[in-house]
Amino acid sequence: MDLQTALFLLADGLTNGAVYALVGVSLVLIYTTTRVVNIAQGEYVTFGALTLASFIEGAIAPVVWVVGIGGAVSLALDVRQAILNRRSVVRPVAQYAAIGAVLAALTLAAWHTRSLALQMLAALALVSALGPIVYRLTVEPKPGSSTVVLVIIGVGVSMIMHPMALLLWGPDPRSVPAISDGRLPLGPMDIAYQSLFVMAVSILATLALFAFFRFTLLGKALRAASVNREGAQYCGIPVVLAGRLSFFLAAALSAASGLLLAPLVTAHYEMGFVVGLKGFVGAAMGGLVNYPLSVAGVVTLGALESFASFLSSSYRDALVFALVIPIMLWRNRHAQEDLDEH
Amino acid sequence: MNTERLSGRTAIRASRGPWVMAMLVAVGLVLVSQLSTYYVGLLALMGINALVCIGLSFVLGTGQVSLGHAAFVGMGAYSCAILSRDFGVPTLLAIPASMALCMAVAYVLGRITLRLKGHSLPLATLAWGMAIYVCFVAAIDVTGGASGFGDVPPLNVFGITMETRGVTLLAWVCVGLAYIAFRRIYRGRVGRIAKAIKAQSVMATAFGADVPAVKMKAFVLSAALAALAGCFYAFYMRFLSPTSFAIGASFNYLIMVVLGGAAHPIGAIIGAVTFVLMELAAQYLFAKALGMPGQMETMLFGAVLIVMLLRWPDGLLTWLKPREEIFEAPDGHAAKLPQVADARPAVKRVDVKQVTKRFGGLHALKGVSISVPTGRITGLIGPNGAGKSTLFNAVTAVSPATTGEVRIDGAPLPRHVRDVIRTGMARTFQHVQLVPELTVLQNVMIGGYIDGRAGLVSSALGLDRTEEAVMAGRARAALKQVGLLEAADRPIGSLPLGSQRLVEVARALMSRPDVLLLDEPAAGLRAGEKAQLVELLKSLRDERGMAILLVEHDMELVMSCVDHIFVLNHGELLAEGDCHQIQTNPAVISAYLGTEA
Repeated sequence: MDLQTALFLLADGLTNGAVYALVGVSLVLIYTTTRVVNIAQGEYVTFGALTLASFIEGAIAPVVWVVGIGGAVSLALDVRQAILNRRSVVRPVAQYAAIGAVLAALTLAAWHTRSLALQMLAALALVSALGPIVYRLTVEPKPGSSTVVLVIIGVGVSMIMHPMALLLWGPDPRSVPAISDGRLPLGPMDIAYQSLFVMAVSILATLALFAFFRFTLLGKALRAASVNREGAQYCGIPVVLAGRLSFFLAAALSAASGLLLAPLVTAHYEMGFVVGLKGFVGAAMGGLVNYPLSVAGVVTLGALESFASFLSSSYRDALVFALVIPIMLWRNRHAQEDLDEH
Repeated sequence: MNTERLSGRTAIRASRGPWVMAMLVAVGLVLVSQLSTYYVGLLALMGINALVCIGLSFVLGTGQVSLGHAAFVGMGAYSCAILSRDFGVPTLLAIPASMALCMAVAYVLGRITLRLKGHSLPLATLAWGMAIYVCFVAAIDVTGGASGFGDVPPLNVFGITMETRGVTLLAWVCVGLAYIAFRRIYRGRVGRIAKAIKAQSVMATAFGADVPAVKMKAFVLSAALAALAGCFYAFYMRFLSPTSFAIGASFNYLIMVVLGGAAHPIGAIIGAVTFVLMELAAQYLFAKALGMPGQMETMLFGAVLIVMLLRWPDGLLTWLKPREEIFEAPDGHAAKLPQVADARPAVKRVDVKQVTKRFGGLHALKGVSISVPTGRITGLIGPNGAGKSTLFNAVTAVSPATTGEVRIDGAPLPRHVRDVIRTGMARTFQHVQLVPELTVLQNVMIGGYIDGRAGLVSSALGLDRTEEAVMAGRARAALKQVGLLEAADRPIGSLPLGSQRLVEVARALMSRPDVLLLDEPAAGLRAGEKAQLVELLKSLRDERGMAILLVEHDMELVMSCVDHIFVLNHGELLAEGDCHQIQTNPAVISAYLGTEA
């Protein structure tokens, strides 16, 4: 392996790492605010990429039906809850109607326009809306479930969303154009602008989330909601809203990673699941609670993947997933707060 | 009269057990010999799945979950097939070798994850499941890769070659044996502590359980069963393809376990059988009748998984609850089982010296010293936020002191919570920590965990009967002491809160402690129950010479029984002395009632 190959692999690895980083930070986001270890996170990557592909082909993305039906069921549950709690049903209806109107307008606009930016925005909005719907239907009905139960629920969601992508979009891969086809010459090699976009978005998102949870009152409130649900509720933190919000943000980040990844590979129904798992393994480096360490984990993983595919393409994923062993060993040695001695 | 009728009914139902077994065996034999090969194959699959699920279900019972069990099945299947075909290893050697291999892998995975927080094992098993699947596909020279591994020799035991029907029978024999073994484990010492770990792991640790070790045993055992199932799969299919062991298969095992219910090993078998039947029905309905694509099936099972977890967390066992047998304690056996309390030196006093505790910037304790000698009831009181619970946690090693020390007869407090009980200290909890699935008696028996020896193997073989009987006897004695003997066989949830607190005291008495640490035992007790508690504490002090540390808010109760009181306020010792001194101490009065500014 000469220097140029190594540099090329490194750049490739950093791009991969940036894609996984978006999923990794969305996992950390969800875990720190709701204690859900979301196995299904990668499916939003798939949905994001394929929704954009549909819009580019000039079709209405079939995910609209999923959002519509899921939203209607969520609305029905919320109205029922409002009636049981003797609260006004106007509020949930109005909220859902407003969100529905915005999504419908975006969808119609994306359907008729040729502007890539608008189509990306619409795809992002639609797929992000899936996040709170999933939270409403699978986590909210039983507050305070144990980590293990929440993990298994995530498995169930993944088992529904994965085949759903195949049903909605079929097995054929679709191509998605890059935001810019140019490449940045960098000494002996060059990097696609798309890769730089991915990295920039990852870095910005991570920094924003880190700062939000570390320094703002709302961020601290959201973290408090996961540490002690009831206590947070007594302090006036709307725990349920916090959960929906973090699922929304996490879905948005993962969908964004799908939108940006799609031009580099091709969009197909299986692309997301493995990306999700790799984000998961990388985020384990930070124990699913630490943003900078999680990003370090996924970037290491991305680089390892890139070099592994050069050494042996068939064993690449085995090597990548085996990274979980050194990561866990490392956490055993260094992360006191992660030990569960009792 | 009522009890007589009840026990009569239990006897009838117990005598029915062997008949049900015989019926099931007969039906099974008829089915295996008469059905067409296709349906016998389904029976084989049910048996193989059931084997995996029985082990996995126990892992879930300890509050853990594995998302990569298909990898163990695959590894068992491939190693068994490779050993048999390529190396000519006889079946009876190939199966144990494959099981040992999987147990070793499980041990390594458990070793690096089980001391970490709850989500580490699912994550590691998921990654391991993906990695090993990739290896099955990639290692073409060894496994045949994606095109599969054929020509597996048939199962051969003592020169008898078995085809589909034979393998099916053998698999179900193993299911039967595993069921019997696990039923014993579930109701034995390890099963009880497993349930305690799942419900409240701090409590389980406080009674001497090494939580990661128990989880490890459950996990390694489940890997062994998965490997055994994999061996049967190899001999039944005679052809292996990596897709059978992909991550989706692991998820399916999880569905079977959740569907059946993890509270009892029969749930795993019911779940496995139901799953295969549902899959068959779904295939027929979606593919043949409605002409829909096969993915609908996976979505259906995903929905089943979520709905079961949210609506019926006990799975099908919600409706098919098996009854629990209760051991009768034979009299006179109690003395034969040695207790930790016999071997350790009797504790004379516990001293807390200059203990401070800091939580970030908060000074919860600022150099507190108290002493708890035997033969005395020591009260620890103080207004809310005074640091009582913090001090209690420091003494029980749950949350060790920042500086200062706790000494038991001059020896330092053990570092691990689980070793504290061996020094002769036992405790109750401020928020009642009992295991909801167990009866009153079984909950009290958790207190005897350190005195027991029965492990997974001896429980599985039924060698723990005497020990269990002795433990039950001791638990009954402890219950009698707190006046709850009549409630012994009732589910714990049916007791009022006050009685549950007394059950906690009985559980603490199981290990015959010299020092009893009670964290607000009177909260929620009615007047009569409080009087009863006072009598109990006094008799423990006078008859057994115990040291009792009582943290309590109820002044009437405190003043009616304690010999010496320490008053904490703002993390500092405000006063100490007997009841009269404290009641007339102006500083104490102003701390409780406030002073005029």
